[in-house]
Amino acid sequence: MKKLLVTSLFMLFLLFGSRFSFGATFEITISNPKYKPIKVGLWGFVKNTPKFVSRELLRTINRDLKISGLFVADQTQHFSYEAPSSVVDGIARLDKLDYVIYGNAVIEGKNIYVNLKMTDVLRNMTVTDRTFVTNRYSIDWMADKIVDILMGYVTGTYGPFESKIVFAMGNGKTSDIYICDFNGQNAVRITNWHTFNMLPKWVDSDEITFLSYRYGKPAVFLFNIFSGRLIRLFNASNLSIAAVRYMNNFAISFNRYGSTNIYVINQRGRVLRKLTNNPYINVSPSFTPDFSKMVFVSNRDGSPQIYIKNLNIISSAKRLTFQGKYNSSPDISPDGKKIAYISLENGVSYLKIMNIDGSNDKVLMEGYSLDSPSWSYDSRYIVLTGRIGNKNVIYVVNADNGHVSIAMETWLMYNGLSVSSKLQ
Amino acid sequence: MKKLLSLVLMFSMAVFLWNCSSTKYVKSANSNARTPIAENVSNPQTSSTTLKYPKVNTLNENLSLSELKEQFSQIASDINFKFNSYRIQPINEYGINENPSEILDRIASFLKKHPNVKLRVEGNCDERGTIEYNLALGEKRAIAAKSYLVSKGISPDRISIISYGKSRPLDPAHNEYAWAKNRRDHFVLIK
Repeated sequence: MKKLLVTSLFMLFLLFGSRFSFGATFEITISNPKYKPIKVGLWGFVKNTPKFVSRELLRTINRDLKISGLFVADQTQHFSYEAPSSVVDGIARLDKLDYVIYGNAVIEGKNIYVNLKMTDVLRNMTVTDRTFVTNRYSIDWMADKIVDILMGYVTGTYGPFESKIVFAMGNGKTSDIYICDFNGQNAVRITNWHTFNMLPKWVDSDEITFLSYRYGKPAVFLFNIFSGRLIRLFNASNLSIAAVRYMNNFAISFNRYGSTNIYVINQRGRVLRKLTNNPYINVSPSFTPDFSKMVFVSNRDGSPQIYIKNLNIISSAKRLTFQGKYNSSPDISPDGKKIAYISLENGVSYLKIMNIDGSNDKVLMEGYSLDSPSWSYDSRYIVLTGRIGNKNVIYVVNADNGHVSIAMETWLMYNGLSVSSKLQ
Repeated sequence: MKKLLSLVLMFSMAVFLWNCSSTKYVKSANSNARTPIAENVSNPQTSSTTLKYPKVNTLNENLSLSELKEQFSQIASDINFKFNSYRIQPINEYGINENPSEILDRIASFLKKHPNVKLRVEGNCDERGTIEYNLALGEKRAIAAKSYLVSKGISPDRISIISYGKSRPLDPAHNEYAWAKNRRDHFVLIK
């Protein structure tokens, strides 16, 4: 009897004991860090670091940590790269931090050497200990990389900050195309045509498409942001709306014979295939990574709703949204599992996400004039435009926990945006 | 003798061909076009156009475009639409009380009076809704006005359409009254 009791107690200990003993220390609620953010000591890059490098690195790392919606930074200590890990970790443990980033930077000629140490305080482990080489123009990019490495370690998925946002912004008379970092910094204007340019979309790691009224009639242009090569992709319609990538070609909505449908065109603007065949409005195509399915917006049932179509077999489109009278601007996540879209009810717009089959539909955020949701390459963040009062903003929303950050704000109007894949 | 015969034959062929040639007719038509009696020259293309789209008054054809625009602005105004609609229907909401058909009728009669001018219809939307869908909706609004004008006898070739979606608001405010103003077709006279 005693043996049985001892064995049972031992089994119970094996089952639950380990959880009770370590759970309190190691449990990190990634799904809802709004209420329990991960504490990161941002304790480096002040000592033995040139001032301008220090300022830029710390500002960007801090900004990225905030935008991620996962972390809160502590900047109460300063340690150089040479500081012993045991000392740094000891203090971090006292301050109840989870991770510490520290190090320094040295300038040699045109190069900046960033010596980085990142430690996991709770596990007493070094996450990374290495030296990066960069230059004065890429300090922010270096900072983005540091945060991406930390996110990769903590969550198991590399962070989204090594990407760019392309967006259109204007004053109601003209609108130009701009590119900025994922966190909204370093915006650069890439068109200056004194006309309307809008709806930019990344179609490759170095190419974007956008809609322009440069020659009066709207035309879709293909622009290589590194070489500056500009091609007029399509202008054979009174209405053509920005092109997205479809295999080696492009999918584009344009008007033919009075109805707007989605077509596949090649780089010379030749129509290869019609993806929708409906007399009403059919716009905003977005594809699964294998291009087997397309989601799009159509008003074929009276109001704009989101539909999905299987492109591998001849099938009719299936309606995915039934709540509300206005659901539009769908974007499929890069992992092909989720759809982000905008829903409009009583003048208020909502960012919603649902599974690719339309299930698990939920509101992620509510706001005014929300538009152009675009997923980050890690399928965790959604970037979109919106309005707060009289200011227009670019939001970055964590799709896992609903954390909302503002990457940029302006008095001007946004006319579309798109997030790139991971850039080198 | 043979040579003489062949020369006579060649000469008569040349005379025959010269009489058959259309060059003489075209030349005379062109030369007449510059003279005041040009209206006597029959032009089959013009007459068929006249049958379809009758010329009502050609007295003001010498007016400059800016003068025509001035006249046009007195009779034409934007037409408005209900939310997410491209139907041409009377509206009485949010400070707008109009019958778009009456405005379009006035525009149609103006275009009939001035057959040399063309019209561009610009479709616009309010800020609610997404950019891409609004571009398509704006175009549907422009097409609706164009179809109405064509039904009134205006040649479709004289009307071009363009959509600006929600990117060119007339009133930048964020309320129902501003949105009602921004859901519109704007008409621009062009040569």
